[in-house]
Amino acid sequence: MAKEVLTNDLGEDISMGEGIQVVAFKLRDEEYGLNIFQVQEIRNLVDITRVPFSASYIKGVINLRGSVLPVIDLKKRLGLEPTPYTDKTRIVTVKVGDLPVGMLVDSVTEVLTIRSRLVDTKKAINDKDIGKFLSGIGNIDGRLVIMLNLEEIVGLPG
Amino acid sequence: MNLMGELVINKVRLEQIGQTHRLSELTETLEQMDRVTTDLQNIVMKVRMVPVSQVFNRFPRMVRDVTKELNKEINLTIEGEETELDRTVIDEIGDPIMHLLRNSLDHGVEMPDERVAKGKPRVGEVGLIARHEGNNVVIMVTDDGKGIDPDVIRRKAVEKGLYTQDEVEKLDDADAVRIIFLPGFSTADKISDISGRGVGMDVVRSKIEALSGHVDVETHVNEGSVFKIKLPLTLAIIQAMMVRVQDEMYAIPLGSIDSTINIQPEDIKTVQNREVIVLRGEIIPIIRMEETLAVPHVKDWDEIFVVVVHSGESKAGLLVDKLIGQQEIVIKTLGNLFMGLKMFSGATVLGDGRIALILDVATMLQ
Repeated sequence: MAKEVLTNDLGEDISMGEGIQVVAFKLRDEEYGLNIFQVQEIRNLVDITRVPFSASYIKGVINLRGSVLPVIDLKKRLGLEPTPYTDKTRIVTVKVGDLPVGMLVDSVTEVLTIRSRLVDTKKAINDKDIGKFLSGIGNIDGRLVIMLNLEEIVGLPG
Repeated sequence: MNLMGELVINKVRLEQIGQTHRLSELTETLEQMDRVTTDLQNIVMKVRMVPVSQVFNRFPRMVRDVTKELNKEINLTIEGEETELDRTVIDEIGDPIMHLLRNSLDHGVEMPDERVAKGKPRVGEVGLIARHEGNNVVIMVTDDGKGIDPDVIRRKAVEKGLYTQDEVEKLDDADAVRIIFLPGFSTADKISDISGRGVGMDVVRSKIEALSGHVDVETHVNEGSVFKIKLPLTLAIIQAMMVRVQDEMYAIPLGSIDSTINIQPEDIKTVQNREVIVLRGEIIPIIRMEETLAVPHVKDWDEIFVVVVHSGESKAGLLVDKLIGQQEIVIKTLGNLFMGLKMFSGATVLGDGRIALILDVATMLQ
């Protein structure tokens, strides 16, 4: 198989850096990212219906074109302090396996290309509980984007 | 079917717009449209209905084969095969019925000589009966075999570590027999070709419950057993009462509602520290929805409404803040993320696009 040569806008070869496209969003002051292939769409905040007796990090369910979409409170899942909703609050819908899930984030910043190798989170973060939710940290000239491990975050029962 | 659901949701949405803006012309047109959509819905439902004979037809042969294999003498009677069920249900119902039938043939009906010795007719009777019961279809698998001995079940449950000795002794016979529906329980000492294939009654139950149905058993030692499967006639669209608890909306299926009443705080009495109301001479325990569902308290309401619901024999009054009204709702599943959540049988999209959860009354009353 011929190796595809990746180039950036200027035509420079970036294949050495294994560029990946990332949807970057903010949780409090930190920047997080999801592989663009996992992201289905980004929606404005709508009314979320609370589901009693569900896991604490599940914010509730919303109506996504007639079907029921569970929404995860990412800040709560990652152990971050809550912040009030703003007009920048978004629901990023992703697909984990066959399951569509919404992720509540403070704001979506942009689509980035990370070219450098991801930093291993095990070295950077010692906390095992939170560490399993992360899959690496991208460093774009000092701007850190924390990549998320969706399977662990959604934590499908059984 | 999903399209029908969308249509109903949009119709309800238009009705609400008509009401809030007091557009009498729109309301009139909608009333006509309502008739049309109701007819259309009935037709779509009818097209989807299939007689259970489609599934039942394959059983006589199976029963004959199995009977021969077991050297038993059994007569199968089928009743109500013209009863109709939703196509999606029909596709799923075959395996559980097959399982129940095999159980009856293998573990229920005794060997011919044993039957004669007990003074029973030599030929065992196994029945497969379908019939309508209100908004449900009931399918029964009956046999006149040896029945299920609750004491045997109690002993096995303790052996398998499902219960402690104290716990099983507290169960009445009917509840003890229901242990067979628990995962990890199989009574046959030896595994036979016919029914012991590692698929227990718990699988039958979970399959039926996945179809929003219910399975129960009634048995008498040496007289036989009746397995009763209760299935909703239609899965997708039901009538429900919408209620409000503080700022949250819930749907209660109309099929489980007895009545609704408006009461005063002093109407709530206590019996042994449990809150009850007295309704037409009947004492009904009440469930405060705000507390049970841990709904955030926003404000105090002037009035108390009670929705009296029933499930099987038990009844309860659900305390809510407001009755919004009766409407058609389209049932959507909550999905895998909420798999262990028994309190809600699903969710529905309201006219304004928000989602309301549908209460599972049977779970609520447990």
